[in-house]
Amino acid sequence: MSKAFEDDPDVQLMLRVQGGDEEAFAQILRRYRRPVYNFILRFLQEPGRAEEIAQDVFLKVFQARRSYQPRAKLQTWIFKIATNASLKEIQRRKQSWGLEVPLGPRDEGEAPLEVAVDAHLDLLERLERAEIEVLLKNAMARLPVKERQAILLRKYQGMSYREIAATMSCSEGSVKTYIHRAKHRLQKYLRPKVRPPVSGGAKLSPARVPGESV
Amino acid sequence: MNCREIQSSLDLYRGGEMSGALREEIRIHLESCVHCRQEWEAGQVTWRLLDSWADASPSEDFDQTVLARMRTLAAESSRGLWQPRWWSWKPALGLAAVLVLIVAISLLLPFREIGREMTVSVPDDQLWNDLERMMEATESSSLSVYDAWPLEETTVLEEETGGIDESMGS
Ligand SMILES: [Zn+2]
Repeated sequence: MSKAFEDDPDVQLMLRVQGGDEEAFAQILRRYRRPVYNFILRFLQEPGRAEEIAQDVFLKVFQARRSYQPRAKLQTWIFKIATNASLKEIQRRKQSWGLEVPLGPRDEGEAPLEVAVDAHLDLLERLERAEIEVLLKNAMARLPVKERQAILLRKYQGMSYREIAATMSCSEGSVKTYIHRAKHRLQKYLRPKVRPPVSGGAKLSPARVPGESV
Repeated sequence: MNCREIQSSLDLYRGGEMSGALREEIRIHLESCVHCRQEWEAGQVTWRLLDSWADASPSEDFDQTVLARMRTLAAESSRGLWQPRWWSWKPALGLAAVLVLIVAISLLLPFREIGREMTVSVPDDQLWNDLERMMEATESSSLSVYDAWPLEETTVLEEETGGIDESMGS
């Protein structure tokens, strides 16, 4: 076992699953069902189907337990299965509907939200959460699949570029490109609908710097 | 770094995932370059907007459904029907079973005709038992998760999980 992962409690759990421990599998399920389900849901934006696919992901984890080798974080392995499953669903949709993805809630002709967004203020005080979600869903649905996967893994799973690269089976350079393009496209879509900061703007320093006190 | 390189590094900069020297270079650039600063500010707003896309909950019986299906698979496994990688040749098994059945029936039909007039031993029990087991195996597998995971995908997944091992091994 790789040194970096031998103390990972997830890895220990998965090794117990390999030994036939059902409770260990139930623990993995409890730990990962929500992130896996939400990843697939945000990616596909179809709740019922997202749930079916998320369930299949965990059965796949169980089926493939004997081929699991603790050389990477369990999160990476599980999300690799989840990204494959989501891509498969997109391919299936393309074949049956000739569409990549449904665009989520329709927003054509919708008036821009005339709300000032100031990076220093709590956005939720200014925008209705439901309205933002509709905007974000529409924006996300317009991203090419690789960019969408990369930004979802980055934003909502907090993965490093290295972890995303391992999950998506691509280079870290590609991850950097996907995320840059995804952010750019999201901005381009969201900007006309949400007014940019009126005052001062964002701070020039990064939000967090590991190993340094702020 | 030029503006393009700076802008594509802003996400790593935001996460603090770069060397001190690089971070300092970007910070200084942002102070002097209006264009990159606007990109940084817009990016920060977008990033915060994404925070407001709340998590949803899977249905309450999510775990129970998965565990029930898992137990079915495990039971198949312990009965010896489910072996590692066996599903990868499931379609071939189904086809083989059907072919064997057709051949067997075509061979046995003449005996049935003759059997009305003369005593002929019944078809080899072992053969029928084997066939039945094979058909059962094929049927039960198609009821479960396999429908959702066609052959190609299983293959791809196995190749790719192998890929993790190699790329993440060191
Ligand atoms: Zn610049």
